[in-house]
Amino acid sequence: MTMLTILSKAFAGVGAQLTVVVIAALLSAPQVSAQGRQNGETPAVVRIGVTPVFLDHQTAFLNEWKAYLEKRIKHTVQFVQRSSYQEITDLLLKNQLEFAWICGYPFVQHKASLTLVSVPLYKGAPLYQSYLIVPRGDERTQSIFDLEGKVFAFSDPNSNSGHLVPRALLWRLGITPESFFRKTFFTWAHRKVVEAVAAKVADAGAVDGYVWDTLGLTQPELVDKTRVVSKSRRYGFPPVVARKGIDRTLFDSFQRALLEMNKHPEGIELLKQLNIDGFSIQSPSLFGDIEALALDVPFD
Amino acid sequence: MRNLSLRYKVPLRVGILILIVAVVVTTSLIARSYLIFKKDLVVSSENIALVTARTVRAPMLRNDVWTVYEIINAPFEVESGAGALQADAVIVLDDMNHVFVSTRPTAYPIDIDPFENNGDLGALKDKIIGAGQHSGTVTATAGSGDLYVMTPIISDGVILGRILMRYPDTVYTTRFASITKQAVYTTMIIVALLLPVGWYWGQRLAEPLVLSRRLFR
Repeated sequence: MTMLTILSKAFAGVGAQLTVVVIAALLSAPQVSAQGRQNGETPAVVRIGVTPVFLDHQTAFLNEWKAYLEKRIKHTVQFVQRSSYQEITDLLLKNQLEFAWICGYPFVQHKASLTLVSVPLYKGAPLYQSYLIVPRGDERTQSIFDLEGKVFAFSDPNSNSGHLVPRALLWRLGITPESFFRKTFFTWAHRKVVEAVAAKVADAGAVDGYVWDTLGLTQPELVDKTRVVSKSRRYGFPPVVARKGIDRTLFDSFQRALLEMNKHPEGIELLKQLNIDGFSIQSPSLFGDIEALALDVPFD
Repeated sequence: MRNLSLRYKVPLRVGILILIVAVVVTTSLIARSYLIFKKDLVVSSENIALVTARTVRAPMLRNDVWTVYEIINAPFEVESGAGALQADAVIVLDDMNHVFVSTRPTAYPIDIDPFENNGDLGALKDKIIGAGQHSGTVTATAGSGDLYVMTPIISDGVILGRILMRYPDTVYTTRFASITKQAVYTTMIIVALLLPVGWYWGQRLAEPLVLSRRLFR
């Protein structure tokens, strides 16, 4: 046996042992997120996900809210904006966000992986409605069932008020939107559903009632071009959620900052801009109706 | 005119010559401006159509109606200056030549056949559908005088649809009227300056002739 062969065999053995040790070490290491952050560890930057489904074109407002939250929770805050609920939910599930303001529908879909932080209060309750709207000149439409063969605008595939509710309404008669309407499309923001209907690009649309009401205050000339045909029953208002495993101190601090917004002048001003009364703590059962809808309605 | 003294005849002829030259030059400049303007309009509108076709390609692949609408409608949300080159309608057709979305949703609703019951588009249907077979932009003037620019939307060699941009004939007439008005005013000012000068030089030119006539009478 040559020296080379002896050495090869020796090092092969050592190499194999080393490999096993390294693999074992890697497998036993705690799960660390992309930013080197472990579950339960306080992040350097607190990332809060928002979407234009809800908060559209509100850069100045988000800057003010960021400043307010940073003062309260004593952490750097970064608002992360993405185009859809799906993208924000994915980021939450991958621990790339700490908190997010999402719709009740994605919350119930992933409630095992998300924790409810708080629910806004609107008109005194943590509830809102889905509005069916048509262009102002359309006096004929009295319900969604008058819209066969028309063009319909949804907001987001994961929106309760902007998609799930009208879909469920049709499904009660065994109808799918794809077969009922001539064409459907998503605008990716509730405000844009109103724009689509106001411009008559769509013959009708489903919109978050809170957004329609708020636009009525800030952009009445837009809302005046539409007419509310019907309003749904009330559902749990889109909640603020946290990813599972978030640091408890951070969670409590952030939750308190939201709940106490109506106790500080800057917070009150921000709530006024949002057109909500404040934030509240609610049970996940508040979204039971949305969960029931989601289970009933098939998706192609 | 024959019995008119040279003292007046010469400057008068100079004046008439100035007027004739001014009218001829102005007319030829206006005609040339019109042709250049029309050519520029076609080239500009073709460029705009090509850029728009490329921009809407990605959302069309995703069947994203609203994003395509926002893209084609964006120029209409910005107030343009008087006489600016702007289409008054943009229609995006899908691969079945139905309306995918348009900036005039009442006239061209989604998913309808835009060629039915539409004189202009009906007449240009073959040209419109022909646009893109050889990956080209087609420009055509309809019976109404409106200019249509048609460009295919192509992804990986596959035609996803077509962009139709309509420029009303008032784009010509408004700009042309403006150019003509400016040219006429400028000519009038120049003629107003040249006529007295011409009269003076004409008289100066005629003076020795008048003198020599007197001498030889």
